[in-house]
Amino acid sequence: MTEFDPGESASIISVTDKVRSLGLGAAISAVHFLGDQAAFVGSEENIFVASRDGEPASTVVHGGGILCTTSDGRRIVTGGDDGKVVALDAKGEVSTLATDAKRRWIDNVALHPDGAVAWSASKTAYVRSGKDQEKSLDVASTVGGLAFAPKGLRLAVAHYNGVTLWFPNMAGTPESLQWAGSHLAVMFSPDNKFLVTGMHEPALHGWRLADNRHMRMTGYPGRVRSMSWSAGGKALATSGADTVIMWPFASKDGPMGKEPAMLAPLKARVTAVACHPDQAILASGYEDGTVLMVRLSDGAEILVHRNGGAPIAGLAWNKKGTLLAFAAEDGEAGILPL
Amino acid sequence: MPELTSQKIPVTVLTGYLGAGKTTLLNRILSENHGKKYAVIVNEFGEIGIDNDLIIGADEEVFEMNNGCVCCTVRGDLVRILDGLMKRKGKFDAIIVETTGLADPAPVAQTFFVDEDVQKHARLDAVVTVADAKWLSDRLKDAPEAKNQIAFADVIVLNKTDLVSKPELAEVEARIRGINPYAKLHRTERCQVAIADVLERGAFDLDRILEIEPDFLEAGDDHHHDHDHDHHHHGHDHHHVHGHGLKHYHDEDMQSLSLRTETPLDPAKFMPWLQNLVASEGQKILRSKGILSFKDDDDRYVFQGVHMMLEGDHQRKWKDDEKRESRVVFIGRELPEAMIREGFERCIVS
Repeated sequence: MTEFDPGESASIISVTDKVRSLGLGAAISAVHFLGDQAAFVGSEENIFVASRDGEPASTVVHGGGILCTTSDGRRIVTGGDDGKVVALDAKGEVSTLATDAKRRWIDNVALHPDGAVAWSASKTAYVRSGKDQEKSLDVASTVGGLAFAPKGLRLAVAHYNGVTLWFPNMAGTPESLQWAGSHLAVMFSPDNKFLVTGMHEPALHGWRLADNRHMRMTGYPGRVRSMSWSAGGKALATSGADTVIMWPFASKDGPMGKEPAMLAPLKARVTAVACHPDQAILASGYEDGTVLMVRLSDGAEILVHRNGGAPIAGLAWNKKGTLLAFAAEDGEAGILPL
Repeated sequence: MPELTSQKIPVTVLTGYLGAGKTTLLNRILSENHGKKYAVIVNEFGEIGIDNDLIIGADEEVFEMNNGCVCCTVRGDLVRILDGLMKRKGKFDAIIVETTGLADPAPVAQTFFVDEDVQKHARLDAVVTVADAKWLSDRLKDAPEAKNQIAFADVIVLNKTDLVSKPELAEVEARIRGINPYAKLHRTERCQVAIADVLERGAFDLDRILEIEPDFLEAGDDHHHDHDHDHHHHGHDHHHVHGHGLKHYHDEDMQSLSLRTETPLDPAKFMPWLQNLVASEGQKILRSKGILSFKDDDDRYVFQGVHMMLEGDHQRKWKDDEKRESRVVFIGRELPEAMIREGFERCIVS
């Protein structure tokens, strides 16, 4: 839609001295919160959970690589190359939710607000809701991403050349949204009006669900791996450029025909974004290890973590928005109380 | 790209028509005591008789990139699997990708050219093709996939040589050379080849285009062998193989074409010419490689390509005792030879 033009970054307020630093000593791929405990998901085997003051404790969840992870703040669900879907709750209890019969890789997981869990292996998506038997849906190609709609039990399954929208508890053919290319991630807007995918190529694609109208969001120099809805769902913050790209979703047309906002430009690629749960603030992590907090209204920046380290692998806010946790790929991590 | 090469995990692509002996070679690699650990991406579970938690099943899902390049296909499953394998970095030294017998190697190779995340962590080391000495000649007639696999190869393991006579072997080798004179060829029984001859070859490493392909120099011209070489080989019976001295087959639709000049090239003419050539003829050109001497440039420039994709870089200074000669090779189908030769001539500084 537009070219991004990163400007000069001015001198900046720093809160780096308020950050509690943690060295986790293992490669990290994602960050969540379990209540007020920060949870750092390792690339292999472990999740490291740290309270605001305590030492991080590691829990083994997989016998190998952890390929995907999601959380609703009460539990973390992960999929591994050991073929298992595993949950870790705030008390530290681990439970195996499913084991693939052929020990295939679990490529994607998703959690529904009411507790339903979805996962995928190869071309098959699975859903388990309450005490029901799990249900499965085969799509034409390997599943690239999974997301539950905010209302009702409806699952979006991203794959090559589009997304399949599936109501697991209803008979009938699932709806198909088509767009050429490989769709690797998928999410619904919080108001359930839009569906957005992150593609293999450096672009997002979207559909307005009322009429399936297409939305193309292009111009990124790199693949978009991190997306986060702003408080209230008025905008979608994304990684992939050397500035945070915020697509406006407040109007009924979504970002169609509009320019994205470009916040927090640095001379490094944005690798992770996480919007504050209530305030018009986001946290952004960069490939040079920088972490910033950014005010959405005017782009004002606060430095949380200095550059010079490994790329930031993940960022998360606790539900109340009083704690921000981040981790770099090499296990250098921090928790910032606000 | 070059400075990080050593940290990137080398990936060997193993191809070969059905029944040629890919699985035999794979089993040998995995069971031999070489002190290395390989992650293996296979197209079918169960064929590998070795317990290894780093054997991953792939789906050979090929998709087109939305970049307007018609032959720009990549292996989507490979992007996903490599991404997942990188979570276990440090647990293995190299990756082997086995393709199905009917696969075209191009999408695999192209995945390493176009995918940013793959490029960051892994590098294509070589395409190794296992060929059946007894049946390859027939397959080259009726199976375009088999021909593609030979044309694409950096290393060819010509297997089951014990099942053919010496003239038959000479015949099949001549047919291979008619398609691809530049690959390293190893004759084997039951895939008995030194692991070092197939793995970590660095064939896609621009720095090593020459080192690993000494034939690149001699085979540089299909039609006029140096007389020295011919004389040298006249003393032998011609069932001995060195790529020269054998009767030459010209495959009807797959050829290689080599160009050379000792006069410097004009980069302002050559680079646009090459880019236009692969853009317009890239569907026919399977592989391209070159070492270039540009005017007023003391550095050697090297490039390589797969179909429409090219990568190239200044490699190193020309050595004082080195002949500053540009050499370019194309392997492909129905190459427009006259057009390519004329275009190349026009890039030579007059």
